[in-house]
Amino acid sequence: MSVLVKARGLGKSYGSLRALDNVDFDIEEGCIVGLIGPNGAGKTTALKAILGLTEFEGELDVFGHDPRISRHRLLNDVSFIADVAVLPRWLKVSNAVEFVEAVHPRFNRERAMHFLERTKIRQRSKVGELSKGMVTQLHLALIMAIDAKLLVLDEPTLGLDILYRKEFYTTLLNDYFDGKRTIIVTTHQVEEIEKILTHLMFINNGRVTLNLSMEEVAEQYAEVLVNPDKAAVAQTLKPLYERDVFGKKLYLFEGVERDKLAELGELHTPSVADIFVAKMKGAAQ
Amino acid sequence: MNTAMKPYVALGKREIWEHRSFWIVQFVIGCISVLLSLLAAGALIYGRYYGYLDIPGYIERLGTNGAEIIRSFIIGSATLFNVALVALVCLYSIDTLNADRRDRSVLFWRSLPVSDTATVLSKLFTAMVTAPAIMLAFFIAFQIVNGVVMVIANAAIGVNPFPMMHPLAVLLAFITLAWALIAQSLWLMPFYGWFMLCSAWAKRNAWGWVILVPLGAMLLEVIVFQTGYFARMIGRHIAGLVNLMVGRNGITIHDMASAAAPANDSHLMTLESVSLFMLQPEMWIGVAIGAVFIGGAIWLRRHRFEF
Repeated sequence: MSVLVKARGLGKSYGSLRALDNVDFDIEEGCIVGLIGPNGAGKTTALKAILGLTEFEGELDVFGHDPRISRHRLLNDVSFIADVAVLPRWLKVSNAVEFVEAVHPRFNRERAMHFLERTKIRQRSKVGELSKGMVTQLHLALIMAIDAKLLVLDEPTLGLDILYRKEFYTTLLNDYFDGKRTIIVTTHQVEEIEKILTHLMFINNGRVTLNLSMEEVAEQYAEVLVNPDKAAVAQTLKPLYERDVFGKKLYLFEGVERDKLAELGELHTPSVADIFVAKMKGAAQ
Repeated sequence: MNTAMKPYVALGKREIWEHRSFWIVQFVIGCISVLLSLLAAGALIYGRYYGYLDIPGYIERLGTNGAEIIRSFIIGSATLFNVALVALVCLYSIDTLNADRRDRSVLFWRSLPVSDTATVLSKLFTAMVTAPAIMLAFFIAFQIVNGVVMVIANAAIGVNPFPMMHPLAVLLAFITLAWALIAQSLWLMPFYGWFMLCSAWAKRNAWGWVILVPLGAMLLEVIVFQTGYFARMIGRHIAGLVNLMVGRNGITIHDMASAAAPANDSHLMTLESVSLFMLQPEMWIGVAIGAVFIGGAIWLRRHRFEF
């Protein structure tokens, strides 16, 4: 698989705040990468750098382009949804389709129409007349009709109710992702996207603290529910995080052999949210 | 359509979709002008049948000086459309690089492969070419309606309207107007450029920058140098539009206030006066300053990321 995005020593400061601190990462073709981090961790800064929407230090290569120099050429191959609620209220649905068709060489009108036909959105409506869920559907229809190599989603479902959030990701996975395209997504609702991710990246305080494929995550992280009598043994294996559950101890281990852990109790693969909390708490200690 | 031009045409259309006031306001003014024509036609018919109208005198006046009357009438009545045009374009250029940042739709526009230069230039094109073209199209269409109304009114009072129509004078008046609109756009380019620069610069209130920065510069000049060249220069440039309209060049606002020029109401712009207006150095210095402002607006559009 070829590397689509390559960052070396990527850095960015806002005044004294170091939003990104010498970050290295590669994003390969055909991945769905979840970029997870607390507020202000540098997620959006990293995405903006990839999209050519901000200045930065270091090297960044997005399929051969430097985003600082050739932003609008880069955008022939990259689509992004910064937030679903950014379509202007005055824009008519038919005009939105016409505009994107005219300016985007990879836009397929039939595809957009096909997606729109499945919704209740009418061509004559203005964005201001649509419900928030319908605006999302419209934005998604426009973006999914673009044959882009890379799709960047920055908190795309913020402010949507759970039905539309589910639909958003289901549509994306069923109708857009074909195994060759690449998607980078940031969100606070980790549990909603963890089933669709192929790769996971944590960012905290401007640094990448985890960067693994989901298989590697399942291999390296394990959660064990331990009876109190074995708690002392578990402690010797240096758990990343622990908490009390119904009088038992739940330990989260990083990089410990599964055979050893199986002796302690019932083994689970932890959720991304649990790993995230463990890593963040671990970093704070 | 040429595929290379397609994105630029779409950018131009986008502005008209957003700013429907460019044609709605002209349409409303056109309707008012038709209403006035109907009133005039009514007065003509009323005068004829109640004996107020001196028909032979009326025919003689229109016969000897008809072409000039029609030309003055057309150019004069364009003023109303034009005042609306300039007001709309000023409001537009102050808002255009700011509104999409306020409602965050800039995040959508900038997610498409369109350069910031193309975006800003499409907005300048809208201000200087599209909006005046819309105004001219509506003006001509409504003048034709008004012409038909007057032809019918004249026929109704038993006057043969055809010798009074002067199609060449009408055509010439429209061409003069088109030429003057080009001159006006170029003349106002430093203002439009400044407005768009403020629009790209301001976080929220572009109006504040548009007004306060020049006002501050004027005050500073008065305080530091005890002179008022900058204020006078701005005033002179605005007054230049009146000169364009009445076909005089290089007359200052001071001259106008002293009323040195004899009042002559048929003294309206001609193709020649507009051409001379174009040749003034002040015109092209202004265009150059406007271009610098636009360059600044493009740079800001490219490099400002507050969202």
